[in-house]
Amino acid sequence: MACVNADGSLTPIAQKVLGALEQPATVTEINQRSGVPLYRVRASVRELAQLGMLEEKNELFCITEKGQIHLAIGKP
Amino acid sequence: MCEDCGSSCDDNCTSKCCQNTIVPGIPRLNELAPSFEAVTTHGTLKLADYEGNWLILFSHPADFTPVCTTEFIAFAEIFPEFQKRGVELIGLSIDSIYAHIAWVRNIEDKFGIKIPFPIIADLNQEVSKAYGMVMPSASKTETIRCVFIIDPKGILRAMLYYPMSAGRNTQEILRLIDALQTSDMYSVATPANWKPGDKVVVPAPNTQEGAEQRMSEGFDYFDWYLCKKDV
Repeated sequence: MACVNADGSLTPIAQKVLGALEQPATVTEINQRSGVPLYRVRASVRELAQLGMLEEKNELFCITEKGQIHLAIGKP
Repeated sequence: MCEDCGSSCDDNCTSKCCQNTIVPGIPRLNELAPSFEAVTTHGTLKLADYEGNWLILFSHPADFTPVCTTEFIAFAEIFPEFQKRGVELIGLSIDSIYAHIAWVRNIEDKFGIKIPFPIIADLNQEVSKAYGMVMPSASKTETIRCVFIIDPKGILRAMLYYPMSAGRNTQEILRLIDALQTSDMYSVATPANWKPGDKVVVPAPNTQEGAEQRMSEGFDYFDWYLCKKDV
């Protein structure tokens, strides 16, 4: 998976995407905040949503409690 | 129609004889590019993920081959210029994801070049068939050197097909991007060997009255159907 390492920690891209969600954001806003290319933001939010780490409402993405826990663990 | 058995076949025909004779069609310019979802070196990606960006989808015959390696180095070196123009790249070959990963690591190890764009592992040939990248007379198991330029709305704007033996010219692909973006921005065309900064071609008038007026419109006038201007 592109967002989760073999040991269950978040990849650097996933950390950047989730880290850009202090406020709900569109994929374009996540791209602007994180510097992650737009195509990778779209692919990452799709995967992170499947993993239950973020949710989408009206094209705005919000980090979930599970996402916040993983983001905290994933930080060095 | 199968050339061997004479039966009526479509693209989904799986009979042995047809697999050797049916050549999938190629996409058409100015139509929506065939959608895909594919395993890549950057994870699973869809064509729709590139909406809003220009995209260059290009295929190569195989990993760990000499001409392809020179092409990937050339694409990586010119990648920043594509990025400045809002263009993403994605490569493709009928190889496994592990072959791709091993190859890009080898390129970085041997040449000091990091491949910054994803590569599709098209082992089931879903994407290569949708884009007509396999030419059975050249190879039944490898893609030839194709380039597809897809605009931010997902429309296929240009196609290049190169043979196995000739590596592509990345400067020409960049020039083609510049030409397409200039044409879109200014509603003009670009003449032979055009490069940024050169004069562009004003669309020819399509009425007799327009043709008569053309001389007085202030363009570089060669004749009513060929006028140039700066942009």
